[in-house]
Amino acid sequence: MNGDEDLQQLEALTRATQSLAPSPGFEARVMTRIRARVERESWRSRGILLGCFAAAAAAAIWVAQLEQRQVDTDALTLFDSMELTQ
Amino acid sequence: MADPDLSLLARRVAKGDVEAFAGIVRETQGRLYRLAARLSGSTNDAEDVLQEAYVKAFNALQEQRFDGRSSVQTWLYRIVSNAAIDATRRRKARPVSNPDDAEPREDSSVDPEGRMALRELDEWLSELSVEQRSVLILRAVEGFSTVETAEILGCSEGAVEQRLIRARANLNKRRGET
Repeated sequence: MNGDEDLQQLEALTRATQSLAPSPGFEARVMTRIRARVERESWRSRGILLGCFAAAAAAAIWVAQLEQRQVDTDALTLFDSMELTQ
Repeated sequence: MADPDLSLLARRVAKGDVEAFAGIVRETQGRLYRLAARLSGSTNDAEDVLQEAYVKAFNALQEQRFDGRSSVQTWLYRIVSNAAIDATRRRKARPVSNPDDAEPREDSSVDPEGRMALRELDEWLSELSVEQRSVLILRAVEGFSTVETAEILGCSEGAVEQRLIRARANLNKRRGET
């Protein structure tokens, strides 16, 4: 046997394995896995978005409360100074 | 190897069309499964390897990591080859504690003649290193050029030629011993 015969044997074995194919439903199994991954990612993104929204809302409420406190302080100072003037 | 349909499908997946990926799987699963089976020598490993490879490919497309420098087919061959080579290395490194584990359980739905031929091919190539085996299969069986094989395996063209020469020499040597 020489190198050519090796190649011939390789070709023969290759031809014989040409009938190999994935088991039935392979494509569906792959797509199920991929859709599940996409769904997971989508929930993760929604979670992140929701977290950002909650953080922004909390920050807005805090700023509003801070401003309200400032207004109250200003009003009180004004009232005190008016009383002193009178 | 031109694959305009695959390129189109890959672009659709990259834009968020998940279902377009089914077209890529449908179009390539036969060829890639045979490649994985021939490289790993096992129909069981081949299916696992291919499934993992498709998930990796999908992630890469969605995350815009496929740069389009090679064709989609060559790129998929690269992912599957790497996964199959890793699986083969793991299988070879696994100690066989139970004699039943020496023979991998095979899927009964796989054509028995093909399975037998695969076992024979695996036995015939068993003397080769994983690198030599992958070069021989890609070059002589799958019909890729040296340039394409180098691209798939991520090595130089010289390394491909050298591995091919060594693979043939090892097969010759084995024949001389039998």
